[in-house]
Amino acid sequence: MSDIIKPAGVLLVICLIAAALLGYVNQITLAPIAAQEALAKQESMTAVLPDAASFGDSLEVNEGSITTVTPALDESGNEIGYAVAINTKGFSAGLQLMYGVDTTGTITGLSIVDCSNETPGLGANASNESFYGQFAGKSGEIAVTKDGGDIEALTGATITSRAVADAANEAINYVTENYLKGGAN
Amino acid sequence: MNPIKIIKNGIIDENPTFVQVIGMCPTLAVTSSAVNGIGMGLSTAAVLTCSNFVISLIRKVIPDSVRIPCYIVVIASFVTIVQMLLKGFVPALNDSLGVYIPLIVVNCLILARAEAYAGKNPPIASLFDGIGMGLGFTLALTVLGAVREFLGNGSIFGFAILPEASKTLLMILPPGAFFTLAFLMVLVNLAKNRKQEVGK
Repeated sequence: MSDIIKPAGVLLVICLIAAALLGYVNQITLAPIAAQEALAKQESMTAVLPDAASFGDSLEVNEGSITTVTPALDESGNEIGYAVAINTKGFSAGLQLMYGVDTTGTITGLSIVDCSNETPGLGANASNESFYGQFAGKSGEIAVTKDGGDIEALTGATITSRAVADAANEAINYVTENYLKGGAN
Repeated sequence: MNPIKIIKNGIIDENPTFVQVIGMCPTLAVTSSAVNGIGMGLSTAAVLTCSNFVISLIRKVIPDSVRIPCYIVVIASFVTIVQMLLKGFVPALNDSLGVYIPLIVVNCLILARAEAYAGKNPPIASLFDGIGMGLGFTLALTVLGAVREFLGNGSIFGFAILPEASKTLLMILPPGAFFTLAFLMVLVNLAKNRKQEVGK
């Protein structure tokens, strides 16, 4: 009997210590991690909407792959565009993007927030400016060249490139539907 | 105990990738560029060194029958704590190494060293074993990544060397990992056999 109880007891104690340590570290890192994420979001919003003087309150959308929409304001507080945060699926889930869309429905910029789940060397190259820089100034239907559009897809990563182009359309459509037609909002 | 001998053992005589052939999953998956190889290698080395030390410290209180679950709990907790601390306090490092950290938990290299070495040897020797094995792993991954990046993307460490036309995309796709690993292992074994014959 004791050859069951003793190993089980030791394992229990080790798990308890590990759980206590994890809980403690989680508690002291929770606030700094949240602050870092907010800072990263702020940075990518500024990157995609360089003309904005400040940003309004983020609106939780959770519609399709859109997570939040944040209005960008000029100095006198007028809405000049919208930062649309998207969490979509490229080659794998967890592709996080930030689009800036101005009041004419044109993309002002794209920031790749997290593409670390995409294939290294292929899809993960989305974070190169030569790819994401293509999106600024685009409007209407956006597509990669293979599908008849004018976005040069990443070599060997058509799926990732398509996901980024599709998300751009989703961002434009959402902003057009909800803000520019003088409708719902 | 001879620290230099233990470290050399990890880098050359018992190189985790070329001789022991363990930790193959991250080896094949992340080595599409030299920078990825170094990042994964160094993160693993850091975790391996610490986990070897801690496991060696508690090796006498762990009953034999539950040693594997104990090792896994120690390693997984350790990796998670490192990840949370990096995320919260060193975001710059987290940006460059963050993607490799979750891969370390499932890396059998760490479990294998806990089982084969740290569970039987004193803490300081285990610490050096971790450093040696970690450096050996880093070296192997970096070479593998550099060869694949050179052939597949025409660059090394991101610096373009070959012209666009000579790139072989296949080399940075999964098959390229198998080809490169196979050829490097042939070279390592050739060098080893020659050394043994000279020794006779």
